[in-house]
Amino acid sequence: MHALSLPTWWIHVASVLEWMLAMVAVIRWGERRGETEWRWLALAMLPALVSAMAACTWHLFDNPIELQGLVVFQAGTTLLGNVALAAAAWTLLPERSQS
Amino acid sequence: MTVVGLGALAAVDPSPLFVLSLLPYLAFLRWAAASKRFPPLALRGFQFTLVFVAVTIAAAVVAELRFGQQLADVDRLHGSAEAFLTVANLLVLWGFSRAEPGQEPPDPEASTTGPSGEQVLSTGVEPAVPPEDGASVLDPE
Repeated sequence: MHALSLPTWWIHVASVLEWMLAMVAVIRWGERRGETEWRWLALAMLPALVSAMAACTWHLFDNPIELQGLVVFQAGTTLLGNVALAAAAWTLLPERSQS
Repeated sequence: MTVVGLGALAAVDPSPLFVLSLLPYLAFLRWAAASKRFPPLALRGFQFTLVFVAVTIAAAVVAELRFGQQLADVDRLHGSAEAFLTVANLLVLWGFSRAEPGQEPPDPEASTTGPSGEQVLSTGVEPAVPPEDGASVLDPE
């Protein structure tokens, strides 16, 4: 795990922790507003977390070419996550919920 | 078992996937903004993620051309680029944590569509009672 310096590791860990806390914050925000549809946004944030875990695992093993599959998995979950985010934002469109 | 799966995956070029993932993200940003329901700071955070993407691409090019290495193996560049994501995520987290549920971009429909009592439960906000309801409660006629 020496490909990344300690500061770089902390930057990664902070990003992941913030994202996890943001998922909780989205759920709480929805609860405060009495709008359960925000839970979909929180769920849509999950693939990006999985993606981040894959990237961190790859870093943990010093970014080896043997684990290149992890990078592809990360790219795939990033794509999936962004589609999920778009879908969640779509459900939050006000014109849609009024119809 | 997992290694076999990863081995098969390794044959795939991830670059097009990363590029392609930008499209749904742009759609996400567009719809998130159009919904007018996101805390402004959180929306800024999601938008700032694009800055992280741009910086990462630039850093990857520098790593390749200047050092002949992938970005993840040039620690300074890697850490500096990733710091932009840390900032972006922090804005998203702050945005959703600190925003008051009533503090959204002015939307006259919002107060009527929300369940009654929602405004009363929100603390720290000055009474945001819908004009009609407020009038009937405060000065019955």
